[in-house]
Amino acid sequence: MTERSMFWDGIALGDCGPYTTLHVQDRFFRMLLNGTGDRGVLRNWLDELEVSGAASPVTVATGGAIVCGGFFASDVAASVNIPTPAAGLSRYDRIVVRRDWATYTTRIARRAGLPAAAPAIPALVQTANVTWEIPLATVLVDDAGTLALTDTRDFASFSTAWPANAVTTDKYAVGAVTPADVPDRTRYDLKGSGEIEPDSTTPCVWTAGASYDYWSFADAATTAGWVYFQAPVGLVGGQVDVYVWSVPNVNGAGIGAELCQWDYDTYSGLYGGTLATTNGTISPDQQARLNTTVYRDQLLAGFAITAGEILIIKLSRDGAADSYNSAMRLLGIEMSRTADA
Amino acid sequence: MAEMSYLWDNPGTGDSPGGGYSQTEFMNEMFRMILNGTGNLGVLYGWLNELEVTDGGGLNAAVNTGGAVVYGFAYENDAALNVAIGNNTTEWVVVRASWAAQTARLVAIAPGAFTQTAGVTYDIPLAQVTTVAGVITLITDTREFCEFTTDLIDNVVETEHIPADAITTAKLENQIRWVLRGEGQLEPDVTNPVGWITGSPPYWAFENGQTDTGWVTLRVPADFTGATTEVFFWNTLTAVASTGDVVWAWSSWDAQPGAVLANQSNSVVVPQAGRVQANGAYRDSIGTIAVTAGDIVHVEVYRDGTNILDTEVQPVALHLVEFAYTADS
Repeated sequence: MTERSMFWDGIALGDCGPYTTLHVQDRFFRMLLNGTGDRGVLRNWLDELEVSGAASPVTVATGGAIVCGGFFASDVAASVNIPTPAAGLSRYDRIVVRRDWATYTTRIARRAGLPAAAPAIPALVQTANVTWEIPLATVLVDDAGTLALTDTRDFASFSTAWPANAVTTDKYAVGAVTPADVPDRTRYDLKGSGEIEPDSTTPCVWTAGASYDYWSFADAATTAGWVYFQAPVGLVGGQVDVYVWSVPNVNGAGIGAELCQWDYDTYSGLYGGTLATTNGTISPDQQARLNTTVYRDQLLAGFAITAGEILIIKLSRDGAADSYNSAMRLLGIEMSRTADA
Repeated sequence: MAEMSYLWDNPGTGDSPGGGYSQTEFMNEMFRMILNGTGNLGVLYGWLNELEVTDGGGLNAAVNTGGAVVYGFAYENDAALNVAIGNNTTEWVVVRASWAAQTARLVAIAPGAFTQTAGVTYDIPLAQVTTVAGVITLITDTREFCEFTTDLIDNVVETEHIPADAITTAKLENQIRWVLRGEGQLEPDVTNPVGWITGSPPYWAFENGQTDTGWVTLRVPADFTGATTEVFFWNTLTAVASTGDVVWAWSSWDAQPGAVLANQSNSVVVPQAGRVQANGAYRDSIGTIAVTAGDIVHVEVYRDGTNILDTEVQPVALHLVEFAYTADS
């Protein structure tokens, strides 16, 4: 029979009775209470059958459960003895609620594992109409009788949807929504205008343009500026990227490489620590670029850093060594990162 | 039945029926009440395959396994079934409880409303299926899931109940955020530089009778939503109370990386009447800049002191330039 309905009057028509526990518990309540697999201990009913103890016997607190549709209640804490294995061995046991169709009982029980030097957790027996076990805890016992408990309860859940707007503010436990619950995203911090400080020896120059002022990095000379960042709390991946936002002062000629050589020196560290240094160079080609357009070139890729560290960057243009023959306009230096929310 | 209570012993006493309880009290009243068995509710959520209807080939609607509560009755189907649909029509696939037959079964019913008559026939819809020329062309899922008529207990939603990344920005309320630029973050214009003046606190002094200018730069944050950011100047008079006006203005250059820098500008006449230096800073809206997330925005901020509309005869102190925007979370 693939379709069935419950419950109807009489004993002669359609899906009517007589009904037994098979219909009431193993079909009706099991379906309604999603009584499959390891489910389920009843949430907030008495003390939720929590298992505790550091030595034998362990204690199983009061509570209730639905075991393959069958109801189980325990209103007095129970004890379960955990035998100590032989010297040199340990063992995993499970504390379970076991429904037994042969004895018409459901009881707290121990599913014993095999003693071994490297023991395995015993499997549950889950055969409908014979024996069905749902786990409460896993117990690792060593040859000194010391116990290590792992809570393995899987709580019952109704096969129903939540009504719209059911999860009001007071339904959230304090601190329930963590950054892990929110997708990571890219965030960035851009420094420009007064946030860039000219180098004291070879300064870049704040310059009047036809449309806007900018930091000018000269041709045929070395000029530099400084910016400071801090890797924020919530940094994901332990790294940041840094970009240079610039505009070529004149259009590229488009007939060969016109490389602008950006050199960088970085200083990074936590307070109280030594500043670590790195340096390097990028040389974006300006030959196809226009002086009406702003470009974003990656200066640092995957720069290793931890939350709270400061990152000091000296950005220099080696205009004497590079092959782009005009000034570069710098509008900003950006630190981009993946944030945890 | 205005008031009723369940279940009692001693048939014929109080609310205990004289002939004993029947399914009417047990399923159609008690469980229907607890399980909100009304209207089109409800398929059981997460039980087997939730009676989902798919194309079974030809004129067959395939109904997967699952369960439902139909006007209080429990219904279960533990093996997928095909339901035949008429050709060139649109039919409902429903779970139908029949009091006459004492069954609940999958059926396809002709176009039009399904039946929901308690005590006779009660249908809950699973899908609307359209067929053309011997094949199914459209299946519209119309399942409504069963809901308990109980409230969730407080603090029931713990961290473990929330899958990773489940709370997207769409689930979070938008909020206003500000990006501020002040003090050393502002760079004086090369041609018409604003001066940094000693005071308590020091400030950028925008003089009367001339154009004083500074520059600030930002990148529109990734959480920006909407179309504009509103620009505010935080400023105060530097001396006495006044009845004059100040013309504040900005000119911005903004673009996505690799795009042409576009210019926008705006100016606003801000009356100073009623303002006093001792009251600290005032926050004046100087208009909005059309931007998108990720734009670089390079902004010239200035007092148009030579504008005939600028009648204020004293310098004005600028403390901050604020860009207010709506964030997606």
